[in-house]
Amino acid sequence: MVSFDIQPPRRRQSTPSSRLPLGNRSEKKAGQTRQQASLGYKVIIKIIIAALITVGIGVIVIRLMLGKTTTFSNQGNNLSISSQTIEDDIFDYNKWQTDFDTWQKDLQQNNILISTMVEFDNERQKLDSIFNSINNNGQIDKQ
Amino acid sequence: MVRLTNNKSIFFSSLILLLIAIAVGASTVSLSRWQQSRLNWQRDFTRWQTVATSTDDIVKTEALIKTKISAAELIVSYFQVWSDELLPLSGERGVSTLTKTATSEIEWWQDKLRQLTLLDLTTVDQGDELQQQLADKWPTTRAKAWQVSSGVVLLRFKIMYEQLKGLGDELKRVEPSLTYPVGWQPFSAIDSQWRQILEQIRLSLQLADEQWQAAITSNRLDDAQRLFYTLQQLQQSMISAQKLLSSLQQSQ
Repeated sequence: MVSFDIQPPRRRQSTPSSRLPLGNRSEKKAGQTRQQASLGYKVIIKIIIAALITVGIGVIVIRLMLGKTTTFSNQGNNLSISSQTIEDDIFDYNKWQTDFDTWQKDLQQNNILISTMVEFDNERQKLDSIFNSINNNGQIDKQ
Repeated sequence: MVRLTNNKSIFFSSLILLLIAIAVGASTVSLSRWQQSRLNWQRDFTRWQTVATSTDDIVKTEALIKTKISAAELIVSYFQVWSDELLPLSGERGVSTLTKTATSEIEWWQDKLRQLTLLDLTTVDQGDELQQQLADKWPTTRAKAWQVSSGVVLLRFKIMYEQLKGLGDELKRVEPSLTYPVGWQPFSAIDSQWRQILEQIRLSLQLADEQWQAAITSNRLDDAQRLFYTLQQLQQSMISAQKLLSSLQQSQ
């Protein structure tokens, strides 16, 4: 038969401070103060991080709820889009509209230029006859 | 009695002869003067005719010069229009060549315009020489006018195509994040037509580019006309694209 000699774990006997020498006592007190300070910093950092996360989530929620509200309006034949986005860095509607308006003006200007080409082509035959004759003597007659 | 009669007869005969001689002499002088007068008149009339013809020539030449002055002014203003259009395109490929061509034509015609204005019409040779220069230059100018004008329009179309493509791409890019109001067409509704029009414009641009190269090489009017037809087609396609983009809001 095997018997075990079970003994409760020996508790570490802490030396009463009154029994410690004077130098050791002040060192322990300083250690406790450091521990308390460290705990305080950690709490502050946790609070800051929590606040940042809360603000971040709040911004995202607000942007999701309000940031995408887009209104369209009809001004004559021009496409007009305006946005109520709080901070719209995704798509500049006003710039898009301005670019489209400029493009439409260019298209109108092209119409004028093509008309100028047509007019000149109509004048071409008249100019042919003007430059191909000098006087009645028929010195130049290339027609 | 008989002697007296003879003397009388001689006297009258002599008198008659004298009268005849005077009459003949007077007639000859008169005839000579008339002849001289007729010659003078003829000379004056011929001179007058020469002056009249010359004046007529001058008037006709003046009228021709005036038509040439207005023609030269038209040519200068035509090239000026295209030269102005080239300014905002500076930096694009081929613009400097077109600008040089336009400037050279403007300078040449402005110089001739000045000469035409100062032309002394009485010196026919000078006028004829100048007009000969204009006649020789005109076919080249006509070809250059085509090159410059169609070149500018083609360049503008190329830039406008890129801008148009960008406008569509931008709407496509943001579409997933856009909230459309009721009745508003989303871009995806026109996307298929949009791509079709853009492709049509791209192919027309490619064709116009080839035709432009052919037209400037051959300097033939029919090549230029063919290019002009393509440019007009391009303009129509651009208008269709504009309408399509604007139609996004028209279903409201």
